[in-house]
Amino acid sequence: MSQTDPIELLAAVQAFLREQVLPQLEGFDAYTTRVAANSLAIVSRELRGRDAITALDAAAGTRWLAGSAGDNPARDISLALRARSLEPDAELQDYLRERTLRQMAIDNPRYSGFRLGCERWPALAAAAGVAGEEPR
Amino acid sequence: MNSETEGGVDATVSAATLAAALSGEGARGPDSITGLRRLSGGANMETWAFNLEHAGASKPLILRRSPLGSAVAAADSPLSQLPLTAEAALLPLAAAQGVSVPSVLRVLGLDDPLGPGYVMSHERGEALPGRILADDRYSIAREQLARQCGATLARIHQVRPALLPPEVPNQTLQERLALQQSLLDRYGNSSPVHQLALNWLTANAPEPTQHCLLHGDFRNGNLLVDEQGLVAVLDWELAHCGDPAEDLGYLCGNVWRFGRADKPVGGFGEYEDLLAGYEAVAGWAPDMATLRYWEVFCALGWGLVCLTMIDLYRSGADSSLERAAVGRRVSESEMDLLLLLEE
Repeated sequence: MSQTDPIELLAAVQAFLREQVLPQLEGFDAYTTRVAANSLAIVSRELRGRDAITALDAAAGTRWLAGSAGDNPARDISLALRARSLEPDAELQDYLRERTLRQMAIDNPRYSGFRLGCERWPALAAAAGVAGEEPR
Repeated sequence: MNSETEGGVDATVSAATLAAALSGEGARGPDSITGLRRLSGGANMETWAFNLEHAGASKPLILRRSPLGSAVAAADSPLSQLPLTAEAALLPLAAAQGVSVPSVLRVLGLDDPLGPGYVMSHERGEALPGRILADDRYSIAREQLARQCGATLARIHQVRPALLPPEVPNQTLQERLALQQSLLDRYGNSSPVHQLALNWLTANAPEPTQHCLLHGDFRNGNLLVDEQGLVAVLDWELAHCGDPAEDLGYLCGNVWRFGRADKPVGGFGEYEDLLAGYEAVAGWAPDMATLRYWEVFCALGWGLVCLTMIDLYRSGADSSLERAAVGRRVSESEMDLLLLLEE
């Protein structure tokens, strides 16, 4: 057997918080413990999904900033938009949509706007392999 | 949200200090104050609930205070709040226009041991959005709320600007857009979506119609509701002057619909009812395009609030888990902005 991988460890701590700690708490402490468990869930999803966003950003840097993109293409695109040297055409908007769909799938797949985005841009959501979950 | 914190009574807020502050209101000593408990709130803001026992009656009250020496957000921060004494001055002005608000019993100045802050009536009603949007007992209220909110906003907007405390921020839209740009710059220009939205807001700024008092945080969560609808308007700390349509658009921001994206007004109502309620009092109402402009402004504003909270966490000014975690809600604002900008 191999050692415990990061996602397994995170899942174990989440289960501990939700099943053993949370039932003993109430009020603000219970609320904060739910935030803690949810934060670990975000980290788990980030471990799986971060590389795809990094790759998407790198491709966007190559596409819209040619050779001038640095190590943070999303920031450089933001600065080009700020300088109005980059026109937000349909392709650029699709990049931003796919990027945001992927980020939402990590941060909060239950957000109502995420579900709306998946419905509005089904091809992008399918390409990103994401889908909105039912709200709590 | 709004849960009560267990125990932990602050050294300075006690039955004795409250009784001293309320001696003019009939308090005769520590025994006059019962049921003192702290309600959850921010690090620089304390909200306490208690009862004043006087002449055989028990009067439920709320104390809001900011402890001296607590961190105060810079004036250009999205988290900047009115001084509590100015907030206390706004409530009677709104009440005079027919807006239901708690009544201010006593203002505690800087020289008061408990100040700055104020004591107000503890109104009964529900403020938790989840309950207002889901419980059967509020089904009639949900049908009334959008129209009531429109009428109430129109009344707030009728407060005469000359009467306002001088601390109420009064900036043009152009100044506020410039401030948003400086915040995006300060936080590292990390979001192309935020920049895209700010470019759009700059290019599409509406001609100002009027410049009046705005509540500034008029949304589900800051409204006290009973079975018949709106009971009282709370949380005036973000009041400022501006375009009246801003308050209406803000109420419709998706982040304040609490999962009910299909109900544009606060997750409970329809645009037409909000605008009809406004027009019934004001004699006019903003058009939908202007309302949508302010929804975009609200969505970007929420993103900036999230970024400011991460910044507070990183600076060490607020090391709470809540602050760190809200940083992961930036993408909500980006999603809402992309949806709005395509319409």
